Amino acid sequence: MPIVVNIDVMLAKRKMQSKDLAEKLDITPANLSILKTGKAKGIRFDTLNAICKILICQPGDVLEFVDE
Amino acid sequence: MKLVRIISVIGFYVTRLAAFAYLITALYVLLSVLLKLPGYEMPEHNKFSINYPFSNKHFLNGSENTAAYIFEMVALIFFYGVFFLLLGNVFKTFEQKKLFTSQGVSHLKRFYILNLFICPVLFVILMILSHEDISYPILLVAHIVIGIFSLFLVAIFNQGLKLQNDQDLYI
Repeated sequence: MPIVVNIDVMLAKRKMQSKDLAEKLDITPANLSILKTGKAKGIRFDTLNAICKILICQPGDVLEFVDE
Repeated sequence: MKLVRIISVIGFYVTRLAAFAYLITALYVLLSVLLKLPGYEMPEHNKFSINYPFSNKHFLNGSENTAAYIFEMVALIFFYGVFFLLLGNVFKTFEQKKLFTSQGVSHLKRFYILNLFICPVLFVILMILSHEDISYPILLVAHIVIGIFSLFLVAIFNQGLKLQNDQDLYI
């Protein structure tokens, strides 16, 4: 998948754990893991909005296009 | 969906009761004949009766005391026991909150296999053996139609399951 989700980088910068982010996003840790590992087929704008709000970042900080 | 769920719950319990009754009856007939239980009587030559357990009241009457006749009786009752059991599983599928599940697809698959493949084979055998006035052709057509609709439901549920799994991967 050319779109890479770099949530771990932002989590490290904000010194937050995955499970805390999952709780604040109101999604299961399993779903967050699906997102982080590139297995997700897509991300809803609501979810992206919430991630950016919680991690105080821009969409471009968590989403990256990598040409294969 | 609420109406579907209500009908499914009712259907599930009714079919489970019917399945239990049919399967117990088939087992009782088989044991009565094989073990010559007290309830098994032969009031006339070559005719037999099976009484209700611990009673003299006739439950089932057989017009021929032959292996083929008894096989037909037991096979038909057992078949409908399995039919109602699998139908109950189909009702259970529609009872669930999450409709498209792999277990639901399995239940529907077993139901269509019973109606579309097992039933024709069994009914053709019974038609050849039978001396009774049972309208096997009409029953066969009805079961084949039910089997075809179940097959269509399997196709729909497979598609629904795939779409649901894809949707679940949208976080």
